[in-house]
Amino acid sequence: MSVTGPAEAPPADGLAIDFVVVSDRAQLNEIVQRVRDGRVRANIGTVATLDDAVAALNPTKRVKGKTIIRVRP
Amino acid sequence: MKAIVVTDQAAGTAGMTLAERPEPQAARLASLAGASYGDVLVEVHASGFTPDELTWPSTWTDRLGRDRTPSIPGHEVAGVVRALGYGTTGLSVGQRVFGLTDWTRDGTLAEYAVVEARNLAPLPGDVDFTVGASLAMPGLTAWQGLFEHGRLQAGQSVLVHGAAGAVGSMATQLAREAGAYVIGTGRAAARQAALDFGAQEFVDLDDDTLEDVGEVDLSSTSSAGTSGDGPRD
Ligand SMILES: NC(=O)c1ccc[n+]([C@@H]2O[C@H](COP(=O)([O-])OP(=O)(O)OC[C@H]3O[C@@H](n4cnc5c(N)ncnc54)[C@H](OP(=O)(O)O)[C@@H]3O)[C@@H](O)[C@H]2O)c1
Repeated sequence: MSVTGPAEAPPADGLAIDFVVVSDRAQLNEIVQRVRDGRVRANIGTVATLDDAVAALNPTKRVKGKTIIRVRP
Repeated sequence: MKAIVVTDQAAGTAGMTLAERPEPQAARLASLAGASYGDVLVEVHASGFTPDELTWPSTWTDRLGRDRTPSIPGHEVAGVVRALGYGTTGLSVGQRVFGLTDWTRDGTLAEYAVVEARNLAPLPGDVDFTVGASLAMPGLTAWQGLFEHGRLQAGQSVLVHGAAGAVGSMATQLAREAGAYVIGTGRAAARQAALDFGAQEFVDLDDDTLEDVGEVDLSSTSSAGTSGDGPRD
């Protein structure tokens, strides 16, 4: 299963699938419910404002987790 | 409105600039003009950007193949609905929402974004906008990879590449919750984070070799630079 483009060679014994994600309301509901009841936690790295977004999205060192731009406080 | 724009594909993220862009017109949306069928106007509170977005054709051309620069990147959003077009079933003005927006349209690194209603879900009042924006892309990608395309079953083993990354950490948690055995991969420094997200084993791609892992039922690749070997039936 790949989200970074088609596999270079198919596996010897199985299928190679690559896909591009699509939005899905029912799945979003499932996911957010798991966050609310603690089964899943978000992986957030940096949070920056829109004014600082260019710098935050061009980090000089490796960042862990997602960078989120907080457009309104 | 303020927005981040890109105009030059070769420049990558270094080509991002903060610019002034026309604000989407709420009145036009409400006028039932055909072009905005199904659209809502979202006041953006939090936005997310996916590392490879600027290499995808959808950032540079629309569905008819026309140049759409300057283009606003970032297609993950959490915010508040400010106006509704025709056909926006299930949403109301003032509602908190989150989701993943159309890759071929202007994105969410902006004060406002026009989004198809079907791409949004309600964001419960006790979930912060920052969390909402962080969930859409990793959550949907992991869910679709594991359950829709991978048809993961309890008791199966799954190899999650980049297990400490945004998509990988979500895949690790969702797979564990579904009763799978999770083997995470990544650089040595990611080991503890991957185990904390629930991986039962970790393969350090700097040092260990994947051959030692043996057969797995599903392999999911969401780390640039690694390649998976697909599901086995
Ligand atoms: N097709 C789709 O629908 C879809 C959807 C979502 C994401 N994606 C793609 O999936 C990828 C991951 O996205 P993300 O948001 O999860 O990014 P991310 O948070 O940066 O996660 C990538 C993870 O892989 C690790 N990694 C990268 N290169 C590695 C290497 N050579 N060896 C070992 N570990 C390596 C990273 O570790 P370090 O931090 O140590 O580098 C990080 O933990 C991106 O390419 C993204 O564009 C595709």
